[in-house]
Amino acid sequence: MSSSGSQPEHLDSSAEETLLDAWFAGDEEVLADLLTSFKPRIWSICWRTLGHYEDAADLTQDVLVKVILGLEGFDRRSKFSTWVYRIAVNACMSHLRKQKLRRHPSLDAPAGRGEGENATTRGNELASMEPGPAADVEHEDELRALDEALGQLDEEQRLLILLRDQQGIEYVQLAEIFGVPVGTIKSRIFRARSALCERMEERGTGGQ
Amino acid sequence: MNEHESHHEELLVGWVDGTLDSESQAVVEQLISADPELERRLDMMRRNRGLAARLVDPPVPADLDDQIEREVARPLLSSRSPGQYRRRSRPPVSLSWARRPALAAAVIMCGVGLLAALVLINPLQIFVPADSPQIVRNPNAMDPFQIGRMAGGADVVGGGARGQIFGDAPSVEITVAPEPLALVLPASSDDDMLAMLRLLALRTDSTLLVNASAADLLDPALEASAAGGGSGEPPPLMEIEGVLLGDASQVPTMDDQFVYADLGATWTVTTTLERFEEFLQVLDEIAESRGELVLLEDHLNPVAGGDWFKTLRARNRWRTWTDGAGTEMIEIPVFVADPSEVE
Repeated sequence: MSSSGSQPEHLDSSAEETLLDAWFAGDEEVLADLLTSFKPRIWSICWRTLGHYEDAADLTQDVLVKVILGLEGFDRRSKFSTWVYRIAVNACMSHLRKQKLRRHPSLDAPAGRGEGENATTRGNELASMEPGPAADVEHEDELRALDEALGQLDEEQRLLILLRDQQGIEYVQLAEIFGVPVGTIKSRIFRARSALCERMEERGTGGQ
Repeated sequence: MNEHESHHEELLVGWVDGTLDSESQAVVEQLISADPELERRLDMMRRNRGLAARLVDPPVPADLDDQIEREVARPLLSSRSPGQYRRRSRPPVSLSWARRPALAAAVIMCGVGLLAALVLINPLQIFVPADSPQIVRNPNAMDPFQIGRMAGGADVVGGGARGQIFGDAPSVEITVAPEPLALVLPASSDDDMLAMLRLLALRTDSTLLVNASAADLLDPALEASAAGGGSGEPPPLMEIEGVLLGDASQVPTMDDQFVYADLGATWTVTTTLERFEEFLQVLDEIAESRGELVLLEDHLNPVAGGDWFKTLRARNRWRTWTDGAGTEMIEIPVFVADPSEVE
């Protein structure tokens, strides 16, 4: 989980199920708890996939709206979190396709992608941020390099690393989210990690 | 990618994650010992994995919740244009005859008046079979001049006094369903009003609609719609109800909407008896935060001559309805006025 301030704890599967049971039994109040738990995670995925603050905010909103409006039809054959992540991943990929973004904006790329100079990209946002509680100063350069290298991966590879290594999603769940066998997911993640190493080495930040 | 290569990658991923069993671990250790470059690469992957878990995201946008609330409502609001209004729960009403709006309005008003007269006078006792249980009006109900109307298209009886007279010796007493209430909101912009009503409808799971009115019949879009696509085609059915939020099956009848609109109510909120207490609670909360709101029991009484009087917080009223079916619909046309003058 990213350490972006005081974020709510992830709900474990049983807590999710309990809240879902309550929601389907008519307790509408629990929806807020479910959404509160997922909001930062969805935001993180959208932000790190799109790399643009305003777009990510819009997409996070779209995803959560889809969750709210679609919950009635959620058949519970998969975990709730899997369902939510799948919506988020599909939304991100769809958004990127629509925008025909070929690559993630790098840290030193100009902000805005034609949307005005005030648009906020991940690069200038990160540059303006104080180190978070978990981001030790000694790791700041490494984190920045990793962030930059992640931005140079293709969308699926970036998503896979974020979901697995930042958010800690299990391989079985990732397989469901991407609709491929577990072995395929593991191979893709290995390749994504390899690509990440290469990007970092290209920038001279891959040493020990 | 062949099967062997895939298995190999799975093993290496497991090593980076630290999830291998001892046997698989030994296999990877053997590979590493024979390939220092592989070892360096895997170590780097491990380090990156640890770093990724510490990536810092900017805070979630503060206004996200508000945006989401608006967005949740938007799909339901997307059919606001009159030509798209639909009444799914009932057969659509053909209004092609109503292209002459003045005639239409006159016919409708006459129809409502005639219906009201028939209901009140009830000369043929058609609603009160002699051998059936008498439907007795609640003693707290509205006066006899109230338009006799039951929500949901159920049978209708007349006013309070008449009901009791008819019910000389009722074997079974059935409480009459709630009459329409009137909700008075403080005067403000339409947008502000609509925002308040949407919040109310969303939080109470009630239905919000724009009342159809005679003015709708003058709408060019409806004229165009009714004209059809070709000269030889019959005019299509026109639907002029505007369900903004909620359940289209819970809209008042077209006649009721015309009456409400004629009295000055742009919108109607409908809820059910079983949800009415919750509705009142939410209404109180909104009233606290947005200013005074008033729920009236008898604004629709023609005897009142359009004046506001006899405010009602409605809880007492609600208790008298609790014998009714939970799904009984309560219609609440919404008026704009200064609540301080509503007395």
